[in-house]
Amino acid sequence: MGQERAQEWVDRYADLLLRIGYTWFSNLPDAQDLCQTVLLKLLETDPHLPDPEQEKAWVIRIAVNQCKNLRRSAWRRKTVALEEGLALTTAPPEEDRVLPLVQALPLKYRRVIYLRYYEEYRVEEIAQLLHMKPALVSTHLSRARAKLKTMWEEEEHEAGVSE
Amino acid sequence: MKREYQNELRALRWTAEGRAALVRTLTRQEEKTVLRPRRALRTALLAAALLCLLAVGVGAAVITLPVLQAHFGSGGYDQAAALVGKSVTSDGWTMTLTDCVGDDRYLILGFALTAPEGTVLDREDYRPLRDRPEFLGEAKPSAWQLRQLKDEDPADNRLRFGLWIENIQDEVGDPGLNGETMRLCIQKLQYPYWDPETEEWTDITVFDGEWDFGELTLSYPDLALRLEPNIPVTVLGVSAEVTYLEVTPIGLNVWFVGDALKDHDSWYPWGGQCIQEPEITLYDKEGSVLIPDKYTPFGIRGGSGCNGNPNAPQQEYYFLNIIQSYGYLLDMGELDHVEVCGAVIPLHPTEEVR
Repeated sequence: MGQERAQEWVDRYADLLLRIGYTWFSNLPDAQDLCQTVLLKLLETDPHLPDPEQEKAWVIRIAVNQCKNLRRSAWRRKTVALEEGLALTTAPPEEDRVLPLVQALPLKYRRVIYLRYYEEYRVEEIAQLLHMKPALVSTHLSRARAKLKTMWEEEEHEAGVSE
Repeated sequence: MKREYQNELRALRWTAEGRAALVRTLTRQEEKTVLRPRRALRTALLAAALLCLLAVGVGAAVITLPVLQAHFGSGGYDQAAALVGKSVTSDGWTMTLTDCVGDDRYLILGFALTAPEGTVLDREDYRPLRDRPEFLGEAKPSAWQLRQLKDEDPADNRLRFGLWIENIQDEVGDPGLNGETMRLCIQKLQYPYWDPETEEWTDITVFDGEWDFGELTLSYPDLALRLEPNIPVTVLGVSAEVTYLEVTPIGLNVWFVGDALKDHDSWYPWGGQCIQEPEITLYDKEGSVLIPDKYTPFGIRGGSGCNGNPNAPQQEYYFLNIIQSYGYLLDMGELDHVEVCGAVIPLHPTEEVR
């Protein structure tokens, strides 16, 4: 029974949580730990929400809050090590171009980029997910886009020079 | 660039063997959690800042705060609350238990009600009927209030409610509510109407169904500071000792014990000037006095008596018990000390009682 429920939550949200964790922490081991922590909470609380979008938003909110809490605590010691020697997750390929640029942004920018351009939430929804004012979300998005544009142009320029 | 970002991030995923390892680890961890003693479970559930989102009706998802977070605000809520997220739908009316907060004495549950799209719920005095919350363990709560809470949009199809449950403890250490299993069913949605013809109040039923949550086991962070100062004070004109002080995000619980309280072994009087006595004042780290709110459910309560149950073997003693709530959740990290009838009781273990 417990295994079935664990399998269900993993199937539904493991990848989403991995991407949130990677967006926040910029490394896979921490992203995997976040995933484990949030999935365990879901197993313990076993929420039943009437629609899938609502449930997904709920899970994202839990993950976002867990990221906030766990960044400032000794949380990494609380997770149980997954079996060693396994290729647990895929790694971002070296030829990726945009993801490394986004991950080079400060957290306050990359989290809004993730929610806006990957999960495709509206500004008002992001504000509520992150417990921020919509105007601040817009400002962060605007600054993030400007920084990405600059970084992209610099990279293009460097690529041109090296050729 | 957006498409590239999406594709590159989408490529980041768990492998099949990673998923299998995750399932195995989660299953093992959950089994351990279930088997832990209650206190450990509380600690494990220190998921303080869990927030929730509710989609409403058909169409665009609307994200709202969990009911108790919206009601109490941040601060103490972030430390003390636990996510629940149980919904029951009856004829298109969905009641969601969003979150809860509590201590050994009180349990507060937040409910969000969503009526079918197009329904206008614009009154401030709706009151669902509720069964007596039935606890299956040792705790036997004696009082409860289900109260409509302020709504973001007073004319939409959503309402918020808070259910306050009080567990009167006859003695320090009596069973609390954390981790207990309860049966809960909420029925109907009504509002009171003054009928000028009959000159009587009557209930207008807006929804005639029920939301049966079945059995719920609610665990929440235990942030209580439990102190046994054992300091002499003068209270209600007689000498007694402050034997126990409990401070939680919900409020203060102070026990006085002394033979001289014998003549006070009737219920502590409600309201009036007596409520000002004994003087119990909570201070934060900035030196500000935190004012209790007697209008919040079970805001300021007191009782006195003796434990001289003829069937109980213990020696008789006479006590006075005062509880104060604040209308919001106390931020435990911001509290400094409590003054009880002139005695200063620090809320930091390194300091001594003055």
